[in-house]
Amino acid sequence: MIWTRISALIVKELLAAFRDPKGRFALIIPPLLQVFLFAFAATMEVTNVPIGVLNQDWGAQSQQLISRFERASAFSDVRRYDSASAARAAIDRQEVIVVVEIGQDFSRKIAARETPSVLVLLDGRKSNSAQLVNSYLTTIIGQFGADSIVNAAYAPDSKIVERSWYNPNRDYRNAMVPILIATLPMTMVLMIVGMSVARERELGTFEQLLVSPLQPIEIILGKSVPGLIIGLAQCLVLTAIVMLVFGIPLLGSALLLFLALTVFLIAVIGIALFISSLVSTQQQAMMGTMVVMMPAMMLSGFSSPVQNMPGWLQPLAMANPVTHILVIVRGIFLRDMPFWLVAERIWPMILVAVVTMALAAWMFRRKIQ
Amino acid sequence: MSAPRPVSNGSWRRIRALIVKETLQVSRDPSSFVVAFVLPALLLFLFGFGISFDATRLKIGLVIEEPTPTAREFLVALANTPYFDIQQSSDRRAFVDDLSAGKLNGVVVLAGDFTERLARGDTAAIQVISDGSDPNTAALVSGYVQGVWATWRAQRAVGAEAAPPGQIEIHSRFWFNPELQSRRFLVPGSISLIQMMIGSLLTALVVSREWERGTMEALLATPVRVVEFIIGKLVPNFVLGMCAMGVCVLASLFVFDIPLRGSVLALTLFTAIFLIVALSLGLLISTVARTQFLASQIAMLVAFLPGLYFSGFLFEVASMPAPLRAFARIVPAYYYVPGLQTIFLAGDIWAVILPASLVLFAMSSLLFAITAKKTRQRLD
Repeated sequence: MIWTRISALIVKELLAAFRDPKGRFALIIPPLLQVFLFAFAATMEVTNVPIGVLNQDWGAQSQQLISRFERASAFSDVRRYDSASAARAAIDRQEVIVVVEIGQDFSRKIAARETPSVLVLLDGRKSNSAQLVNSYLTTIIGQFGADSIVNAAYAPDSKIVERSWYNPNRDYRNAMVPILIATLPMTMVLMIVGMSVARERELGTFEQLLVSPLQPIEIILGKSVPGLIIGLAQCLVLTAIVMLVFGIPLLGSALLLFLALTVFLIAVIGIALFISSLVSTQQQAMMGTMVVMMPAMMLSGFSSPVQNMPGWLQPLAMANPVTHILVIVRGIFLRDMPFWLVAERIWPMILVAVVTMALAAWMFRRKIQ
Repeated sequence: MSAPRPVSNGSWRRIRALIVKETLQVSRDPSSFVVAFVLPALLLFLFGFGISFDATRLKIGLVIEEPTPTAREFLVALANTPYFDIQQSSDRRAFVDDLSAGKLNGVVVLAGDFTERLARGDTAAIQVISDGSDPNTAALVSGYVQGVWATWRAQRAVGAEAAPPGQIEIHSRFWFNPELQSRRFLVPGSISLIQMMIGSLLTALVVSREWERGTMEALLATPVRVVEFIIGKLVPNFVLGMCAMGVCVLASLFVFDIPLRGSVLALTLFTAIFLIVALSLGLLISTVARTQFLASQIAMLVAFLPGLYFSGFLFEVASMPAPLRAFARIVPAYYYVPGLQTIFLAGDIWAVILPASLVLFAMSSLLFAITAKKTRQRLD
């Protein structure tokens, strides 16, 4: 009997989501658009930027150094400036992010085996890109120094052997795109579940549900399950896109990934139900969703690592289900994370789900009386 | 309909009446308060405190398989920098799980024969393993370890009184932001998102609300003309946006400690132009979409997300593929954010601000014209 009632509600909800073409459009197109936008636009690598050079040295050495800049794939072209004022104005106007100043005694000092110096002026208005450009330049100049000054006379005594595990080329896309499997369905599920209760409230049909034989817990289940079905279907499609279109292999267990995603989506549904138990119109539900979603995304390690946050914000990040699912998705995709490490990240999400569901149920029950 | 009124006077009265009506509607709707004050405060707070690209201390594991004085020197060199939190072990297997769980950012390994090979004159390898699933942090780990290694080598060369290898000295200066705080460019960037939200998201709801609630019919029946209607809708939200801007600037200066090196006048005028673009965009969306839900969805896709991706404050536009670079040029925030960062961090550099203002002005004129045309078509 209870199953007939709940399944009727679930069927009704799914029909409501899919019947109208605009609704279908809103479920399918924005996530797809965002995957491709994100994959190609969201890069923090610096490639293809122009750099400036102010060369006051007439010798051959500085020309060789500049031709190394020209060959570097990170830089699109090397613009030469004649005077310090022209070079500085170019940074001011944001024509170039950096100007390398080579002094007039550069070649002479190299010939004399002295220590020449190079001044690197960077635009701190974009300090993130500037830091990366600075590290590229440091590598190129250091290598040039090692080749032209030290050469055979000085055998290297030690060297750095570098490895990046799990993502050998440190490909930004490999690290970022799998995360969308969790974040895009989250947005969708928050909206669907949050709005559906608010819509019933606004249109007055929530009263009808309340006078039906459905128990509050059954209403909550009936509102949750369609969101879970739609969310998991999106996870599945997105996983396929990530693997087939972007060619990012899934190293860990798919079963474990979907187990974690299911727990995550249940936690998200709990949050959405809690929001919808507080509001009375769709517009308020949408504002509430935005107020929850933005901090959830930003305090999760999605755009910058959690460990960079100030200490007093870190407990908040740990209570955020997005933080945990990001670690799990990255872990299972890139490094075959073992079960016990995944489990360590799953229980906080279960906690969030239980707390928010209980709060929502309590709020609904209070409103009925 | 008795005595003919002077046209200009009547027009002014109608606009004023509309502005009063809109202002009352905005100030009495709690959700517009959320959009105008709660969301901006939240966003500013998140960008100011929550997001930071300045990795303060990287957690690394140092494996010394054979404890020798040389290896200890290297440990001291690592520990003397402010970059690392170091855990030490003699077995690399101790750190593999932590690296896999994301509890460590990298592992540095000095193999058992490290000192021996150094003494023999062979090349001794220092192995640096970083967690590539976070490419930015991985790049920082390897960059900083290389820096420590270079210093350590130079010290050894001096200590051994061998001829110091001539290296090229590199002096890097970061202008406008010498302490390299990412907050200094993130907060001005987030101000543009807030303006876009008030300008587009809030404004997108206002005309569609008239349609959804059926009050548009009533407005159409009044003598109000299209331009008057548009101005009446824009002015209250413009004032709201400028107030939010004032709050943002004060918070930037006093809470986030960001310098304002340019003039307040330049900041105000430049922001006003951008806000007009955002408002015109919101109004256009609002005119096209006739329900609030659809309007807000379109505003998110057309105004908010491009502002986030293509303004250059989170992601480097120059590194994107060519079609996306071309697309970025029609995104208003692409012009506003660099100008705003310049006014805050560098000063009034007109070579940046003027061209950007001209482009934004052209955009707002175009959007305004399209909106006026679209609205007129609806009136027929």
